[in-house]
Amino acid sequence: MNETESVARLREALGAMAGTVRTSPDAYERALLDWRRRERRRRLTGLAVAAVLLAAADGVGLWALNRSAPAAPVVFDAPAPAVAPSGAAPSGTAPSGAAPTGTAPSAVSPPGAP
Amino acid sequence: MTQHPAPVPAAPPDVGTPAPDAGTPSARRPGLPGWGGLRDLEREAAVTALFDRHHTELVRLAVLVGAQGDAEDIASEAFCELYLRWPRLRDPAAAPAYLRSVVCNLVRMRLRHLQVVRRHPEPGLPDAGSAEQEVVLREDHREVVDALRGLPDRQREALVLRYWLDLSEAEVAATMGISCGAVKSHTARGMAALTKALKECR
Repeated sequence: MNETESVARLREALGAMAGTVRTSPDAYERALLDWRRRERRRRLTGLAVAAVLLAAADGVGLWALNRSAPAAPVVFDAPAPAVAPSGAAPSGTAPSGAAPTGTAPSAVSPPGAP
Repeated sequence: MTQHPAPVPAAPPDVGTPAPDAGTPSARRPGLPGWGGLRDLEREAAVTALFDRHHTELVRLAVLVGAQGDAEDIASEAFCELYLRWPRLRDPAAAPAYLRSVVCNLVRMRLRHLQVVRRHPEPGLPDAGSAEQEVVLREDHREVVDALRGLPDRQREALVLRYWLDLSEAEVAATMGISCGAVKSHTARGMAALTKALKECR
């Protein structure tokens, strides 16, 4: 028996064996339910992980705010804007034309503040 | 999976055959998916069309490369994998090749699992073979199938993909995840071993 004959016999046998295989009529319904269920589970898992991460981030932030001293700034550590008495130029500002250093240009102090 | 006697050999399926309209699973598709979304509907329609065209072919492929009783489960698992990974698929035309590749991998995993189970036999394990299928096959076909089952997994996969699905060497290589040279090697060795086994049978 040469290889060409073997290939012919192999093709014939594979075709005959494949012809004995039948699929069940409800295969599509079962597969559809299965892949929908997996997709739903995948999305629920993603939502649960996102919720856990969000809750953990919230917890860490609240813990950091809670353990800090009341006077110490937690988020912004820039000094408070200088107090400018009414009618006078704010102290610590540069001569005219230069921008004030360390203070916000639009900062307005309330009257009577120290 | 149910297996019935069928005297007519099944020809290798045509990959480009359009899906029939009536009586197909897509014609009796259930309602919309619960999570909605146009993209989900498109994905489900595409996977359903692929199911219509390739499900039987994939079940047969699973049987031929070594799966017996759970070939239909393996094919269904392949479609689930495709459905989950559909958004990451670069080209929808690559889906049939992806499905074939998943089926081959799952059958290989199942055969490895069976090898481990057989090393530690437990009473009451069901026989993986199908007696009905054995009865239906002719004597000469059974000789070839027995010889094919005696081959290593890779050689059997290469022969089935090459000579039953009539894939090119490049397509077989893509399906098996190996190089074209390795496909040639597996095919040549498999055919030589098969020819030798068939000669010994005579």
